[in-house]
Amino acid sequence: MKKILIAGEGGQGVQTISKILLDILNIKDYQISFVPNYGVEQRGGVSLGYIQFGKENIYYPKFLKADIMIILSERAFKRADDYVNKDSVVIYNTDLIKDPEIKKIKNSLGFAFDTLSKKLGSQRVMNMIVLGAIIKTIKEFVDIKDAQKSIDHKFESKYIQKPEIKMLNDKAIELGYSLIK
Amino acid sequence: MKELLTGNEVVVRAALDAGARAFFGYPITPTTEIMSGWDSAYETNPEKLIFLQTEDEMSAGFATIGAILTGTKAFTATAGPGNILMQDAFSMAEAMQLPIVAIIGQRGGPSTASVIYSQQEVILTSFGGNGEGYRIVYSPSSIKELYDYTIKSFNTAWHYMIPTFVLTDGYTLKTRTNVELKKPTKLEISKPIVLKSLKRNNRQESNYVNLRNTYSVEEECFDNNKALIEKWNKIKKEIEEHEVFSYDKSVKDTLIMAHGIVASSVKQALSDTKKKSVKLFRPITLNPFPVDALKKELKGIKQIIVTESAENQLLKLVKENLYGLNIPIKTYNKPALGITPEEIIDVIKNNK
Repeated sequence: MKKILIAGEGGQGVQTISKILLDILNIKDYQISFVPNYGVEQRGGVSLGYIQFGKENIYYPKFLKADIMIILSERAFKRADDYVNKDSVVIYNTDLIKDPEIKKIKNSLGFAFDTLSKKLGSQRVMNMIVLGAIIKTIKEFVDIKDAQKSIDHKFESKYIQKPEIKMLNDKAIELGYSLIK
Repeated sequence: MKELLTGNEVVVRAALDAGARAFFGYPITPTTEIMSGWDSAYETNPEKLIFLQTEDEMSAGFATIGAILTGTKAFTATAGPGNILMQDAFSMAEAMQLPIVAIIGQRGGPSTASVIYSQQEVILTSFGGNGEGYRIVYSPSSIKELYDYTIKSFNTAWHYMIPTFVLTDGYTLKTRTNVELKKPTKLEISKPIVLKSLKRNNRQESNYVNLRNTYSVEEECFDNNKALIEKWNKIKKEIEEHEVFSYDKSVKDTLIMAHGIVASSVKQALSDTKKKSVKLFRPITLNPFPVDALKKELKGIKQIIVTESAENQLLKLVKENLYGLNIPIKTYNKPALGITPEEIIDVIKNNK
């Protein structure tokens, strides 16, 4: 069973990334589960996504420690640092997280997700860069080509109208995928 | 075939598959998506389905009852403060033996509190209102069960003519998972309750059933109460449901009591630790409480551990139903907070 926690500011794309990832995992023969967590705010506040997948039965949608954590903002780190254990892989956004504590985590990998997405041409593709990084991290469970197919299917109507979005998304996923060695 | 669905989507699917035609409600997290999901279903089939967002939960409850009186299978969904307001209508359904179905998505309490999760509406849902709690309350543990017990609620409500609740929570309703749903094979039929005959004759008043909700003297009110008690005692054994879960069949000395999603957490903990001396007893019906089944499972048990996302809700039911038995009860209770399998594992390990 793999446990992934995605944490960021409301509006940063935590729920979107979680839902796309769930669709990707659904094409495999896995048990999958995703539960969002957010406060009463319509905007802002920390948004969390708990994802689990594997061959075993999933009884409970939440967990105390994550195998993989994606942390996109400073506040999200404060909220989610309890979920880190000694084996957790922590991927975080250096553009927004300045807390030196995060560097002390054994398996932490920082990337400037905001800067990278702006360089690609739009802040809005940050989701896809992060998604690419997650896919690489779980590559023994999901193939990048299958993931690509699932994403193409999800955005099919959008891609037909605006083929340039597909090109941008593909580039972003590729970039995210290449970040993790 | 497995489908990727949320709990809220599953509830709407179940209601449609159970033959529900109408939904009246007022939005509140975490059940709002039941209303919006029903609205979408209504938009695609406005000839057959009925939908109304009322001005508050009181009118939602009474509008649902109104539709039911005319023979429409109707239901509602609410949570937290909405559940409090709707007790007026639920109490009337209890008094008049009306088959209303309500999905309760427990959120944190007391009052507005938090929007997603708790198990603090057990007592309110089972015994709310100025009555004795002659109502059925199912507590499903998974999204698959959420589907099955929503359908069952319609069947139970219309078969026994009694208010029936699916007591769930925002974690279960908001979780998206891949699940295989099996459509029901048998459904109860809804008939107009206010008419003696389906052929309508407005000139003949005797065609209408005169349903009472007010009694001029105490003796009449007492008679209605006696009728309700008698019916309750007659049907409760047929309705009671429970589940016992353990890693293997060896002898147990500890029994954990949990319901709903917390019971799932206990199942995962027992599976992960392969703990042999502990079993889970999970009431599926919180009301009527499966007391005979519980007493049977207590043979040889040296202690009970009650765990719930509340301070004293399931615990209250356990104590009331086990009055006179001298088995020590420990608790691991977290009001308005989730209880993970990891925590239950610690509870089991540290248990002396």
